[in-house]
Amino acid sequence: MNEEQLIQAAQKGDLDAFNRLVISYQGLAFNVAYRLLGEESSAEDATQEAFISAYRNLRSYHGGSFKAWLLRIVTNGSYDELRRRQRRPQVPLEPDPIDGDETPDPAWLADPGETPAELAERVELNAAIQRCLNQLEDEFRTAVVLVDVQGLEYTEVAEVLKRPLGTVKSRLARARSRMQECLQGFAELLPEQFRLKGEGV
Amino acid sequence: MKPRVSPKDIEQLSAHLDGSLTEHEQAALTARLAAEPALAAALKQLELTRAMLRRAPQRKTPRSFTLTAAMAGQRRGSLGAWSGFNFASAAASLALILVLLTDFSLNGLPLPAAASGAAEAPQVLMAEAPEEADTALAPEPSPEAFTLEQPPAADEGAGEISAKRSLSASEWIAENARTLEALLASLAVISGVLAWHRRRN
Repeated sequence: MNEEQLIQAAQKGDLDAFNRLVISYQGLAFNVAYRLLGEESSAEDATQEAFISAYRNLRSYHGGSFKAWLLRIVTNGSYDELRRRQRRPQVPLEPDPIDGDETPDPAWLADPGETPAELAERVELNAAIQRCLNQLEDEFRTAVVLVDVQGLEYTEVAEVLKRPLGTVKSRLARARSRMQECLQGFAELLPEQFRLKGEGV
Repeated sequence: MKPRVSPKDIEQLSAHLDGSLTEHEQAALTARLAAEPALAAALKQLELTRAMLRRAPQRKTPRSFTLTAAMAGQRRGSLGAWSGFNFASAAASLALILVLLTDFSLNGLPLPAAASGAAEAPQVLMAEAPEEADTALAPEPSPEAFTLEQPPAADEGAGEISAKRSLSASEWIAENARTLEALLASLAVISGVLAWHRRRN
């Protein structure tokens, strides 16, 4: 069955068909939630809640990009979690990976055939990117995560954000510019090829 | 002083990176890039930032997010528990009203049966004590003598207990109204507070 047939079957209550869609999109959904929330356990909860919500509201899907429809649920759930955090700020028990001496557990980043130096570079790059993403406003962060980190098209992002294409373009441009400024602060931690030099734009 | 790159320029450069400019816009930007080194430098930096974001590692999903039948068909566990609390709150409030109505209809204004019984008891003792003193013509009873006179009172108590056993349900409710009211009011308040707390979150 192709995606459209799976969706139709799931809309009729076929849970197995829906779960095949879950398997196709769970990696993307989890990574989007992780980049928006910056924390694994919250991303895990947001992803699971998003799939439950998607299944229960499948009848409200009336065609178009299923990926965009699903990611809209994921991003909305992540925004809800961010709002909850703002209401009740929490102090992390572990030191900040950038400000503190400790680096985050690199196990999930490990790539067979990679040297320790390369792994260390990737861990640092990842931490710097996440730190800078966390400083962006929600919709700016979503735009840059969906386009640059996840490789979605502008039109799909416009569907996810429910914003006109022009708005997506301008938010993405500003988000990239802000990311560039922020990443310049971590120049020493970044791999040689990514050390940004010269004045900011 | 080097020329500043405007936000509008950044937007154009960003769109240029993604190949989303029109032919006319693209031609105009290409001409400017050749003539304005600051704009070309800005493009280079934006390109580097985008490349870095694209290198951001994808996190492996920590588990499968496929739905079980229970997840698909039931409300979340915690929500179910809260629904139970809401129901308990309503049931406790209803039961409280019933007990109050029964209490008022049997006893009039709420002077509790146990309390009025306790208030009468000293009068009975006071009424009986002089009588005994008169018949015996004895001096004031010693503490020991007072203790010896306790068993008959205990027998009366036993008689009351057996009488209580034969009370009807409504009389029993009236008898224990204050305790029941306190219990049900506490339950209603606790359930209400918990439901309010959940709604806030």
